[in-house]
Amino acid sequence: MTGARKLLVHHLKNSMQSLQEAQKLSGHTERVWCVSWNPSGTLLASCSSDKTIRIWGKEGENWVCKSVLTDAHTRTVRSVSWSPCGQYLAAASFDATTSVWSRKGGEFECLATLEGHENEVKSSSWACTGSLLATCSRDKSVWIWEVTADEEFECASVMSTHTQDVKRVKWHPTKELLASCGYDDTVRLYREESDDWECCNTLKGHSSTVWALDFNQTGNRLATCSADCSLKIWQEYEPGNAEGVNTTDNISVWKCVCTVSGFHERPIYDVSWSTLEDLLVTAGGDDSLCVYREVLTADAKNSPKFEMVARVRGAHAEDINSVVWSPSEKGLLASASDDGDVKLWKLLQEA
Amino acid sequence: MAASMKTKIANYVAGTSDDDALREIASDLNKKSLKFLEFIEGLGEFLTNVDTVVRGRATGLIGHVLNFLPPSFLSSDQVELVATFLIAKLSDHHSVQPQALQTLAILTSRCNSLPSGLPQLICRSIFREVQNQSLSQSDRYATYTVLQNILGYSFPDVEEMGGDFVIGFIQQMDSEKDPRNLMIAFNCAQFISSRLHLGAFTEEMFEVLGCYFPIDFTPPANNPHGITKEDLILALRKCFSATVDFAQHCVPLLVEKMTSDLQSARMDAFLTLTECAPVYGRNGVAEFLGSIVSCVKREVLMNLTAELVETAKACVVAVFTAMTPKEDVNASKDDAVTTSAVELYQDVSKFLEGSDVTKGCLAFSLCRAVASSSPLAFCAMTPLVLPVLILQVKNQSQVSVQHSYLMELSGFAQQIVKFSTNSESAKSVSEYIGPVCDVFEELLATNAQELQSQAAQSLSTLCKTEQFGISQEKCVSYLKLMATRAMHTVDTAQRKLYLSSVHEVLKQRPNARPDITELTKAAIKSGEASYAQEVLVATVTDVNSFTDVNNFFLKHISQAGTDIADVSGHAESVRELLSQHVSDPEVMAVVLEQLAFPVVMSVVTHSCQWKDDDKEKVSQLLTVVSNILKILGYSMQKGDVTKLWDALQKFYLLGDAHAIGLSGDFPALTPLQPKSPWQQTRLIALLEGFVEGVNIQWTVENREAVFESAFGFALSCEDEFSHIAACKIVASMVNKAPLGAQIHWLLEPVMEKSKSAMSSNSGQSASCLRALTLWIWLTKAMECRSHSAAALFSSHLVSVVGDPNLGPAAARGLGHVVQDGDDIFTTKLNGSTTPLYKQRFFTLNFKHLLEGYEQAKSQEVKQNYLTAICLLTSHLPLQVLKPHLSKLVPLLLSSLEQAGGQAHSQTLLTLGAAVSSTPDVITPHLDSVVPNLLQIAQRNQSMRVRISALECLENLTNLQMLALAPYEKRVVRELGPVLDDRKRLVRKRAVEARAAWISLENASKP
Amino acid sequence: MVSLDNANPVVFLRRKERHVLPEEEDDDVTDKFDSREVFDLIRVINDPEHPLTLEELNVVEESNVKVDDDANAVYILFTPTIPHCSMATLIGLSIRVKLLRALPSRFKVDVKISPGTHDSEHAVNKQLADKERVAAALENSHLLEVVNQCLVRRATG
Repeated sequence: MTGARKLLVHHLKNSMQSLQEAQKLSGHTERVWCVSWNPSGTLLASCSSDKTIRIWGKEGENWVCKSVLTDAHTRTVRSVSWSPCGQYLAAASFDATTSVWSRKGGEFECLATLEGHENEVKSSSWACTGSLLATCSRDKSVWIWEVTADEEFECASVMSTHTQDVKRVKWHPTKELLASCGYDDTVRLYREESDDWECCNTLKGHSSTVWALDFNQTGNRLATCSADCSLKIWQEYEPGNAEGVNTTDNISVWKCVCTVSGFHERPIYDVSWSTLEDLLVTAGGDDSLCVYREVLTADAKNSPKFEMVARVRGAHAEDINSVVWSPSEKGLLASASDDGDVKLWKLLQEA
Repeated sequence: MAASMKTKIANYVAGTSDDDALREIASDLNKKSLKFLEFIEGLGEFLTNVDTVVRGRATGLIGHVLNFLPPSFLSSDQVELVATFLIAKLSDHHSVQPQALQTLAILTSRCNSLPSGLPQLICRSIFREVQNQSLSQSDRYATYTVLQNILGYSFPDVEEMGGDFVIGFIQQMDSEKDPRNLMIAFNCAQFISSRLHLGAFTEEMFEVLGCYFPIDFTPPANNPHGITKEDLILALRKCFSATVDFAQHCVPLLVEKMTSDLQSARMDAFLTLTECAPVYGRNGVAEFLGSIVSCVKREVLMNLTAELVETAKACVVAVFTAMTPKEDVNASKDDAVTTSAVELYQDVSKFLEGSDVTKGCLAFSLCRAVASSSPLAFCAMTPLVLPVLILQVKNQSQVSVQHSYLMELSGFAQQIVKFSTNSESAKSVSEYIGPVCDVFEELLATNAQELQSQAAQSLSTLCKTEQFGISQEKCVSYLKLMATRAMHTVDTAQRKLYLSSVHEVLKQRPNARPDITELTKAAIKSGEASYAQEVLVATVTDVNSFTDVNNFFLKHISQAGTDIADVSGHAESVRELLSQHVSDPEVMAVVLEQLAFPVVMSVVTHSCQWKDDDKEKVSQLLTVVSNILKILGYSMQKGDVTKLWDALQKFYLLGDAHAIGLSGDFPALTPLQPKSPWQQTRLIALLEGFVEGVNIQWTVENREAVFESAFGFALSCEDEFSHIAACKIVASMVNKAPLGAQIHWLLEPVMEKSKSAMSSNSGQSASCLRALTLWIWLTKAMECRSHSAAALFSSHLVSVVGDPNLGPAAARGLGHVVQDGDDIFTTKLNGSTTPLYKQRFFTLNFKHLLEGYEQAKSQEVKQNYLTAICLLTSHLPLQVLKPHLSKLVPLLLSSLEQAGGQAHSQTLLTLGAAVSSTPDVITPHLDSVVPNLLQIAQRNQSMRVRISALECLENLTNLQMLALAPYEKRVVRELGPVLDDRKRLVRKRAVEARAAWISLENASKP
Repeated sequence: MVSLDNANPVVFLRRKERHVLPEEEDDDVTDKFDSREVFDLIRVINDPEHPLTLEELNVVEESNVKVDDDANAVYILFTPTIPHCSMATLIGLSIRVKLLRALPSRFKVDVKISPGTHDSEHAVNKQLADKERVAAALENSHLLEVVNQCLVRRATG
């Protein structure tokens, strides 16, 4: 074994960690599409084809179902997202509506039902300020809703840039910058320009449906995952950047700086970037979960490298649709699967 | 009297009373308390009233009253009186005329023989006075009714009127639109056209009918009159085909409609011509032959629906058949049939030769349809098409495409055989027989099963027909191929097909036999072909070949040192051979010497060489040989039966081996001694088979002695196989014993001894169980024949179910008693089985079992009763169980909860049946049924049980949806894991059951 | 009348029922899923516009069904009767739904058009592979009804 190879093996060993199942949360009677932590990491919301939303919370050491929100939707509830204040929960459904729930005391109550999309709503996301809510749908459009002071929602803009089904929307962690991705294999970024919202970037690179995306903690990077079984990392280059990447109209450009593939054998349905440490996790149709960490390299900004530090094959009995890091506890994550279960996992350093 | 009648009439005419008044008048007339004349006189003032409404109602009243009177109530004078009056009323005011018509309709319906002259009078008056088109639907209906009645009852009068009637009717019917009226009008028109000479009015008659073609009628939503479009179509079609005279007008019309844009119109045209062609004959259709053929061709090649294609082809067949000249084929080489056939061939030849398989096959099938219509058409068409078709079959590389062409070629082969008796036809294709056979031969040698079997069938059809002069050599080579295929084919149905092909050809071509048997025998010897023996059996077509093949197998059976399993195999072939030829008297005349004795001898000879390790194989062999003797028992002549019986009884009772034909100093055997070695006792199976099959009256010598020995043997022989065989001998003899004293004489000691053996000290010992087994068989024998003493047996058996030791076996025994089987006690086997014995048995014993269950103290004993009930019910038709289901279902359910294994699967069967037939009984128990079945489907050890549970679950979906709704999601979910069962058969059921529940779920969604 | 896409389909033979092998009757033997078993599930699916099964139209063939029981993988290629068949997606959806209902959930099922046999092969494949669209389609009662019609077992004549 050569010296360099030895070093690599040593390095790998050190970085290998293991993901252990901490708890299985059963309750949904059909496939679970999405899980979402509230901002303080004390509650977990999940939604399912059984048309319900479940809220899970910790009692002692265990997570238990705190409430079940029913009767708001007549079809699958596809995704749930918490507002930054943790007081509101938005749920997107195949019934073409998005319901908004407000949490008063321990109880949830349906505050509004947003109608407008022509068909299945697939995803929703709250902007960092909490005053904007984005939704997207198979009708190819992305809608931005303004939250008024008296808890009412008004449509601020409809953007039909995508040429197909829009699968996911996600706001930038600190700016009013919105990202969406979908069936047309692209990622689009939107910002407000003189009182109107417009698409300012189109990121092409994936060769099939882009299922999900997530910004890193600071928001200068974006991770996307796709049915082409790859994970891509996109880097923001601001106007006047040191690298000399061209920008126009004083708008940042985003370039794919790294493609991670070979770890999932079937479509990757979700990606989550931890807000507490520099870890990524992906989940896919091959029933497995993968955790990645960035490897230190000379040119980390322009050509970063990511290594896989943990993988669980057969993490669920069927496709995993959703995975997300806890915002409050390092190494804790939640996953949701077609097998009807939500699972909590802990990332442990291997002995 | 008269006054009250008048009041009634007055009230009716004024419209203030209803039918009751009429009924009373009719009743008075019928009782003769009112004379008919008085009644008419009483009507007089109304009939002549100045008010037309009154006149009309009074006229109608006569008819209504007639309706309440028996037919033929009126004398012919009275009929004439009324009719004459009504005829006069036809020319009365236009509001009176309809009433007159209605009454005439009733009068002509109810008086079948109108006085002579009257019918003509009626008809002429109607034709003169009635402007049918101006009347209402029901009044027009009356007109047709009158005419129909007169056509039916007084046809000679109509004939006399001749053309007057025809033209009169045409005028009345003209522009009729109502479907009810059309039905009756068509009926009249058909009658008129087929029975009267239309002469100058042919064209007019056809015009009045032809304008309805094609019928376009959509009945109103609720179709109050029940008349469908189809009814009208058929009625009109009958009109068209009523007379050859219509041909010149009808055929052009139909040809025109054959190119209509409406599918239904074309369909109707083809069907109508198919029906008309035989009536119109050559002269009727010849002129249009070309256009008809081209329409049919167009339709067939369009291939819109299979039905349309077939209909068009049937039409062309009918037309060509009608075209066939009466004279000899030779006389008309350039007949229209020949030229059209050739033209058609030339027309479609680009499809025949082309690469589009769909169009190609359609074209071939069309040519074949033409060829099938007559020898002349066959001679013209077949020689043209065959070479092309042969090429097509040969040149295909894709199996499915090749199969499509092959089907056409096989179709032609059938036509060839069909026309083979006609020498001209045979000659016309003789040069192609060889090539056709070669193609089939080639396909027989390919690897595709569907091609092989089709080819084999066709080849066999051709080989059977001697006229074709297929050489011996060729024939043998085909047979060899088929035989070889048969030897190696695992699929039973496919193999049977080859076997019957071989058999059929050999029946016609006995000379080819030696080659085939030689091949087959070699294959049997080499042991490489799994089914060579079946082929050898199939080569037998008469007594000589029977002897040959039989000897071949017997030689193998008799050879010392052959593996017992092989001997069984050969014995099985003998059994099959025998069973196939039991109805051939020539064969049956030789079986005693050639088959029966040699088989018995061989088995007995071998018996001393059997080793303890061979017990299992020996049981198999003996079972087969026992079956051979069973067949001999019921199929041999009386003399032969007696001979065989005498030999057998001597051998079994005295150990006399010479009796069965063994010579030399064969060691003495004692097969009926319970303590003899098993190699000897098991030989009793041969006797068993014979007794089970034989007519007991023909076995006189020492029958009682055999019975007694077998009985003692059954109670004490420790070898299970021998013991069961003895039980069946005893039971068969009891079942077959003639009625009367003898049976009692047989039974009394038997009952006593078996009962005491059953209850002897320990109750657990093997001897008690043996006695119980015998008792069960006896019960079955007695119950089957519904003997008056049967209850003695069954009631004791029921009581044994409560026995802690013998209970489980007795419970199973009850099931055995009612189990169906065609291997014992059946009428064919000279046994006695009365219909409905099971039902009687159940009705008599169910109550006691139920009591037993309720009163049982221990769980084990309860379980015994439960098992007995489950087994019993599973063999009975549901009809019998129905009255008891409300009691049964909870029992079955509790058995599901407790028992495992055997009881389960039986219970599930019953439950399944209950579900499908009496949902109301099962519905209240769903809460327990559904989870139980799901549990069983997921967990039970036995795949049969899991399958039954799944079947039950699937059956449940037939219940009311409302009742099932609460379980839908759960069942669908919990059947998910069962889709992954380790057994494929279970998975298959799970897929079906789950699909049934899913469709339920879908259906109940808003 | 609505015109059919392909009014004159070539009709192919139906396979016989699978033989029950002795080991299939044996309680102790585990029968693995094989291509014939999966083929048997889909060959009886009805074509959306002809009164024929997918097998009879040669849309599905056993040789185009690959099953790996250990790897939980099922891979199916189907062949539309004509390259512009507008029913291709519906046929694919029917196959998918049938297997969704009839196969254990552990299986990963791929349903695709035989390469080169359809004008919109890529688009149809992508749509059939999108689990979300399939799930949404099955919540559409009209579409579900159409699919169910394809899955109803017709009497075999």
